[in-house]
Amino acid sequence: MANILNPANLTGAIVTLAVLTFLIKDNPVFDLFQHIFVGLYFAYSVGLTYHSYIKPTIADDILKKGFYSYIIPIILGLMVYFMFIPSLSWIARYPMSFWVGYGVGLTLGFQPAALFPQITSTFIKFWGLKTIGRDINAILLFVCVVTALAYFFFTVRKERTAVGYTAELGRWVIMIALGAAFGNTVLYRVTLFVGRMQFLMGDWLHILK
Amino acid sequence: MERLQSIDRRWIYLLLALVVVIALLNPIGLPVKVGNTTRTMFEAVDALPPGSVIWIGMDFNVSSKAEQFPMVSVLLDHAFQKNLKVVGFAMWPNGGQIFKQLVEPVAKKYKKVEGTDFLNIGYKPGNGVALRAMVTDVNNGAAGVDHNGKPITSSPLGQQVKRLTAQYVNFVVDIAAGDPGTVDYLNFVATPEKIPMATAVVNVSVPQEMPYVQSGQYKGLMGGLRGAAEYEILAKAVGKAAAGMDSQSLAAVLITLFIVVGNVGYLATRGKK
Repeated sequence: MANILNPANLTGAIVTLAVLTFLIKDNPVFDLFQHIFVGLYFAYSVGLTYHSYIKPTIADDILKKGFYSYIIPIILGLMVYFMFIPSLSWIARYPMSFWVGYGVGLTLGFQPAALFPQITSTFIKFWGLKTIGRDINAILLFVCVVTALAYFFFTVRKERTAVGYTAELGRWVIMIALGAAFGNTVLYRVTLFVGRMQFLMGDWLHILK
Repeated sequence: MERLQSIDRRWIYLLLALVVVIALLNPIGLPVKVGNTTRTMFEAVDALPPGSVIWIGMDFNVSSKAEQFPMVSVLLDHAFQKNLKVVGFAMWPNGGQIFKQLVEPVAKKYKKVEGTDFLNIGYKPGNGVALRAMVTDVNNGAAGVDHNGKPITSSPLGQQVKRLTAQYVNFVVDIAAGDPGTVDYLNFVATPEKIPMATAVVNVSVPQEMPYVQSGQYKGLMGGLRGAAEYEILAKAVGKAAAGMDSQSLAAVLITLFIVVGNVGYLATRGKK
């Protein structure tokens, strides 16, 4: 009984049951707990970012160690908030341009190295594999990649052409891939439900073996 | 036949709930065959010599608790069994708190000490940029403090792991539920720094991560609850993942049956429409 009335478990159980009421129909209880969850998560994230990053950076790095150059990105960051003042919103474009530029530079600098093995393993690791099963897999992978890519050739005429027939096969490949992704999504939702049931019946009610 | 297409979804939910609850209350122990991707990951971690440093990316939050809490727990169990040192780092706000919650019982079981055997850097914003900062200098990248607000350099492990490079970190496992996550580690850490990497992702993400396993860029993958259950079996640390597999499998069978029934109804009434 003590465990059932344990405040943490009790709160978890009430929230879980409130969220599950959505399965019957949309209702105010669900809406209330949905808003509470979003609010809590946001508040927690802000607090955590402040204590684990903003505060140590200002208090230790800038004020104690004298890394005054750190003030520049802080100013850039604060400039983003000018987007809320319509007459001065142009100021926000400057930090955004730095942000996008840095992001693109970082991605362009590092992504090719990670991307090349994908290309080589699709086209080069096509033969010399140890088992028939792996050979079939390699051929299937090659065929599926090429046909799926052909589906996105919008500049080539597709009616009754080789590209058209390849693209049609590619359409099936994409549908199968999306079906597999959907299946995984359904299974993921089931797993979440299993987890909640393990909490309700195990951690809260203690009726699981 | 038309009725098959208009079953009230609440009956489906109720049946699904019943199947899950009954399977949890009366486990039938359906066999779980260990897949290649999980085995590869287990073997990669298992082959690390004692004292090696394994870096765990905690890139998820409580919404994927059912799948990813068991993944972290079993990975920590295996790491501490092998006397590996563990560093936890999060690009998602809740990651540090979750790591703290999960590492403490396993550390207690193996008598591991925070700061010496494991370090919780906690959450740091910045995604890929934060990772590159860690590659240059872990202490500076983490703004000098760990999840508990203590100086990173005050602990032996914090002093040991100076940079997120192959010289200081022997293996990376990113436990991710989306973005930022595995691709950031792959692009900015594992590939440029040549650190072997594996990943543990939610079921939804498995199809998009598989090409990286097949190309050898990931040394294995733990996928969803099933992956966690497989790892639990390999690490001989059976826990919540294996316990939930009966429910998941039976629910999958039920959903498949509903899909078949729905399609039979559709095909039978298509001509009439």
